[in-house]
Amino acid sequence: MAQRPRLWASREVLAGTDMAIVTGPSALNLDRDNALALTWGEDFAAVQTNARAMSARFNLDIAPFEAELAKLSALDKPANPPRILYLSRSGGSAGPGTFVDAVIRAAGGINVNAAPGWHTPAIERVLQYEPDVIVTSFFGSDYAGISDRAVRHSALRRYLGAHPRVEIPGKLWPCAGPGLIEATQQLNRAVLAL
Amino acid sequence: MIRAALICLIMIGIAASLLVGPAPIDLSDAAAGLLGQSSEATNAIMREVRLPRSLGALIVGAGLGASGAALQGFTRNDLAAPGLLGFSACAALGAVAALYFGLGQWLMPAAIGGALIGASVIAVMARRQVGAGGLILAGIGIGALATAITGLLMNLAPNPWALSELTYWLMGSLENVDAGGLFIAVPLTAVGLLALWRSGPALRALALGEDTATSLGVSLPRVQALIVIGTALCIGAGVALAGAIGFVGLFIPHIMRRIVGPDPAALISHSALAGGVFLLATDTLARLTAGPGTPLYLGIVTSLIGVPFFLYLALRRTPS
Repeated sequence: MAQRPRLWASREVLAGTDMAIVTGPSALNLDRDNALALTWGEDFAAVQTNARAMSARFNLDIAPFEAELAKLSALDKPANPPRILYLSRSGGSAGPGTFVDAVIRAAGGINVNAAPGWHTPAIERVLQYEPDVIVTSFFGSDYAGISDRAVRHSALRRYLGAHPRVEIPGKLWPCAGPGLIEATQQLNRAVLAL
Repeated sequence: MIRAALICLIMIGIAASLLVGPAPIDLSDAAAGLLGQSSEATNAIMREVRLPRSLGALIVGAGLGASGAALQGFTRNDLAAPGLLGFSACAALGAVAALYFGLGQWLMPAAIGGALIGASVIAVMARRQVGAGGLILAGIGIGALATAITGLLMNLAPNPWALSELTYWLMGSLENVDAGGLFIAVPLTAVGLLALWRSGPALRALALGEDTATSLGVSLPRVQALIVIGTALCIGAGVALAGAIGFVGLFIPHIMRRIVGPDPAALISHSALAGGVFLLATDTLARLTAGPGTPLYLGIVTSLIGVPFFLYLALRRTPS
């Protein structure tokens, strides 16, 4: 069986490292100098904050990255913003206040999911959304779970098949990570091609 | 009369189940949706979400109720139930093993296979002591082993997502039931119910005691095989469809015994109907009380109802 990442890192594991880069939804105090805490954010400002923190700590040139980030505001936008729904393999979705919502808006779309934050809407709720395009992620995963309702439930499979779909690779979605820039560019190209 | 009342309650339960859900759909629109004459979304909700969920509740509840009645009849013990005798644990182990090894698409056959393998082992072990006592001892032992292995698989879960999936799945829910699942579960449950129903006349003779039943021509191994296979099919299909839902098989037959009397043959069909009514009602209630994005798991609700009842039965029999 393939090994998958384990998330439960302990303080003992961290103690054996020369450098710790940590992030999380709440403040972490590791009581050590050689630790860099990254922002746990849901927008492009957090992406920039983290990039600058990394740059300052490791003396990295992030000028190309900042240029790419700046270009996002100059992306061509469709005249009629398409209504977009995000749906993960497990049927999870994202409303206002999430980086998916930030990407949808930056790409020139409107998020049809108005419920704030991350959640798994009931199948009935999903079927009532009328998006122009559905953004999916992790559909290419080889991990078959029981909660993969978006790929298992017949109603959702039919729903997905009846709408244009853009698959954004899951690796582009780390919280406040630079992959959000490429995700925005990919989605922008897709909505302009509609 | 009672059977007709239960069928009426099933009809009412299905109607209520079809009208309750996160999407507000009124009566006429719901009816139109069932006939495919409403909007695309409403048609899909009624035909592909609510109808399969209602039918799922009905067959899972019927399988649990009938299995409990048959096991209580065979063991002549009010505390016998598919959960206590290891059938549910074996089915859950099969399903959890499929999930653990990343074979989620094989969940249904794995759960049914787990139940059948567990039931076969229970039956083989029980052959050393044919009859109620052997079945109870073997069932409790195999059930405990299956629970321990399930715990081990959860202990060794490769990541937190896998662990949370297993945990939530074990809580039981009908939320993800669809036509594909019903296509497999309905015929298997029907065959299981038929096997249990066929055991009814023998159970009636068994109520007089094993020796008397044997002298009346009842073959204990045959009755045991019918009940073990019937229960394995009902519970395996039910667990595969809805996860682990406990205690229905314990208290539904007990309640029905109070209403229809102690005839174990009559109890099987009545408990099947009552189990369907109960799970339809409980699932509808769970949907009504759950908050947005916070599903109330069906297995939790049935356990919350069932455990006090179990304690009542257990304490009532404690000698003073």
